[in-house]
Amino acid sequence: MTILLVLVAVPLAGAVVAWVGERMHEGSARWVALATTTVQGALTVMAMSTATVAGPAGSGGNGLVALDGLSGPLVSLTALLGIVCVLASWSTRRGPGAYFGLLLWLQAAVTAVFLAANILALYVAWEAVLIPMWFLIGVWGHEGRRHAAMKFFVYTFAGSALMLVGILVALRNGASASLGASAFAVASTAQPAVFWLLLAGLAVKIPVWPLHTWLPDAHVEAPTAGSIMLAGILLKMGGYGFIRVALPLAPEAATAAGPLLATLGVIGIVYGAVMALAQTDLKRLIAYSSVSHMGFVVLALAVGTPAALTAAVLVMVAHGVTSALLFLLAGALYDRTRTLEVARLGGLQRTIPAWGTAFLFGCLASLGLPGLAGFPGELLTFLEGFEAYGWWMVAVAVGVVLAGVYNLRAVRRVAHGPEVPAWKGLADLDWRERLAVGLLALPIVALGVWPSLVTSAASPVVAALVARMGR
Amino acid sequence: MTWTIIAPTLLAAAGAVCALAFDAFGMRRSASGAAVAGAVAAGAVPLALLPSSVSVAWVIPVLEAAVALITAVTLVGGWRRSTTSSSGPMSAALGGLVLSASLLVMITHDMVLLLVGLEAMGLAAYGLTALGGTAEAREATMKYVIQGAVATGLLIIGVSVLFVASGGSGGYAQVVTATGASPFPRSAIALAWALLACVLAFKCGAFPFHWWAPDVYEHSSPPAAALLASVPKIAVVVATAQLFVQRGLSSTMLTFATPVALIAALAAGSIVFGNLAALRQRSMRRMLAYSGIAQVGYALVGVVSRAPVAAMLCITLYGLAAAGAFLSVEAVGDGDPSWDGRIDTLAGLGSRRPRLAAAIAALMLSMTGIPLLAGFVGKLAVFSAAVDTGWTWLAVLGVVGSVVSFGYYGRVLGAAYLTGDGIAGSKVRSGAAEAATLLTAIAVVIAGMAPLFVGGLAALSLFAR
Repeated sequence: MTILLVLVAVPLAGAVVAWVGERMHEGSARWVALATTTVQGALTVMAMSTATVAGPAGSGGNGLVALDGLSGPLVSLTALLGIVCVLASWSTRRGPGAYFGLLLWLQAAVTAVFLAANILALYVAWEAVLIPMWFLIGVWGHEGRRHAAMKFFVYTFAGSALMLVGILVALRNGASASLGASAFAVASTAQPAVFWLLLAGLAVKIPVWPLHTWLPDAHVEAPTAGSIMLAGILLKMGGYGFIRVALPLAPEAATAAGPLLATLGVIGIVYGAVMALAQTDLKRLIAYSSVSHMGFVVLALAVGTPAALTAAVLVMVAHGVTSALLFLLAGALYDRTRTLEVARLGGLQRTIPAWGTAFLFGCLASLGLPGLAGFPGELLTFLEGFEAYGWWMVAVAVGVVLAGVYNLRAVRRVAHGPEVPAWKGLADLDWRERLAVGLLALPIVALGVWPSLVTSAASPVVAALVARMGR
Repeated sequence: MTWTIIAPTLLAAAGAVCALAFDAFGMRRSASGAAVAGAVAAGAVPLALLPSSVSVAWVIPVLEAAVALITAVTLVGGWRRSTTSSSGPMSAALGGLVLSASLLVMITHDMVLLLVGLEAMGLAAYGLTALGGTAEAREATMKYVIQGAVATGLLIIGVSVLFVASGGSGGYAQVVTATGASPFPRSAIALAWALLACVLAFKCGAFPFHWWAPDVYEHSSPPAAALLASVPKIAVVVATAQLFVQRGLSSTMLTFATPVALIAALAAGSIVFGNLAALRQRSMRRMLAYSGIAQVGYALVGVVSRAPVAAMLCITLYGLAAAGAFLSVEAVGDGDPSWDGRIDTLAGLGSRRPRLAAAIAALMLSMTGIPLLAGFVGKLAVFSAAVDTGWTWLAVLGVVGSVVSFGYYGRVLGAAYLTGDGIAGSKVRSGAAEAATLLTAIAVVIAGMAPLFVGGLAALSLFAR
């Protein structure tokens, strides 16, 4: 319990130290941030090893924070991406004190979302994510940053404000504020209202098509670390909230909404893939691929069996590391070329071989190559979806094929083909970028060959949850 | 015993009188100081007399102290004006009078005293607006006075009817019980209550009785606007909550739409109109004025939901942030006298004056209702009360309004932080207005975080149940 509070407190304290430290000694903020995220990573490992990983969050207690097999993988993902983000922002020149302070604040808030064992604590943490992200996009972003920051804020705030009403209605209708309470579901008559109000907030975050339109703008305009946090962590808050809050509160309404959600998920998979295919900007391509991958999460949530929910967690973690790697590489490239126009790139495998290899690896992971992180979760989702909805899943297969097409086409156009003279003397990845790539490549391979890293933790929790719902 | 209840009112008035006396001898600093001292003393007394155990009896004294301290902060924020211009001491004295009357409105449980308090408050507010000095300020004052005169007439009629119908007793509770059993036609009594609701709506600037508000807040001096946009509004909403959330009130209204439905309509109208109108504003003060209409709407949702404490909390936490926001207008103007008051021209404030910009950001986000800032606590309280009493649609309207409000509050943030980067202006000396703004911002942050530490989230959960 205490160590969990420390997990939130460490980045918060680090944020203050980074901000103050930078004023006293220039260039210290990034070291503070690196130290903080490393410490948080170590503490996460400790917490994971000591926590009772099975059982619903906070069962038996009325605590503020809890760690279980559902939140554990996502907390670990957050800790890992925190370190990667610091490494990716190493050469931030503009106001590094404020920048790293906000990054650590964001880190603390997201960790708090996953650890929260009280529904109001979860909401407070959920909203606390908004402000640092708004600043990160708006101040440190690219040309269209102002518009993107506002759009991001208004979309997510609109969703989460309705989510708050949903929470209040749930509390009014007999739900306990504690997320681990056994009698958690609200009265049947109130379930549709609770479910749809909660879904408004969750669906914007995931994002569920057609509420995704904030995502490409925000992902593209954000600085590299912002994109990594957005794609890697913030989208997962939606899926996590669905399993942690919406499903247990309103199981009947969720079952009723299943077919509709599944349809939206499948549309998201295909739509995201088709849009990714049409993009000429590398970062935008990765952003739309996120819509497609998160479509799998929506589909898995709609199916709602224990196996499907486990698959949803697996896809979320896998997409977290994969998209983080791709955005990291895109950011590293942009730092060097100041452009991500696919048409202006080419032959980078020869120009900067380490980058090219890492990019190929990331794209293979993204298209769902067996043996890498993306494969097991999406396969399991597909199988569960087939079980539930039958041949409609052909559409998903189309999405998977398109994922292969847009990923491999990106590799061919960017990394292969004739070298572009303008990029002749480009510097390859430096030590810190290689370290960050390594930190992400490791779990991508690990999850690919050993998905039970996540599933063994998550499945008992979701099984207990589904059993409690009486499905 | 009894005199201690009225002591804050008297102390604030005494401060104002001393300010006038000092002014007679040309001692401007002493005059302003006396008004501030009166306000601080008015705030200290209720705090010193708090009952030993936490209970509902704490609410009004704590709010009195809050209102008095907000007044003191706005008077400090207006220090430059009140010590350099010849009308300065007068505005400090009027500020003290606004406070004195507001405190009376808050503590009274008697119709006649309510009438007296509201009128005194109105007179001081007219004067304070007129001291804005410009032609626009005089025009705004005229508008304010004329509409105020109509309101006064209606108030007197309403109070008289209830007074007579209840057989000459003016106490809130007695009026409710007595009019329930009165031989007077029910419709007349209901009409009197409706008149009262409308007059109170006028006094706190709720839609559709808000027409004076934007002009008054825009053309009075920013520190005066800071006072007028917070203290009287808090007082009036507190009085409304006390008057309209009483057992038996609805049952006396059998033949006419209950006043609760009327207040619900006022609240909904204020939320919709205030937010939409504020979206269109380019001037910071005018935006704050219209957004204030919406904020009163949120607080009235608490009255509708029969949650008086929630309504009072909501309006007070808003008033705190609103006072800070208007003071920040003064602070920005202090540093850059050529500032035209438009939101867009705040560009680059984040790099020019980081501290002030951070304070403004906290105040704007608090008024938006972002968690961990004061505004969220108030909104959570009223919206959860609304859901609890079946007014879910009002809660939904409220949160949608809050989202819309980021359209204009966020524009201030956007101007301050997202545009005009790299313009490192000359160092500005920070004056009293900036200090006062920072103070309110710190208070907003502390009040927003307090539920996390004081009793943990249990405090928040309490509101949610």
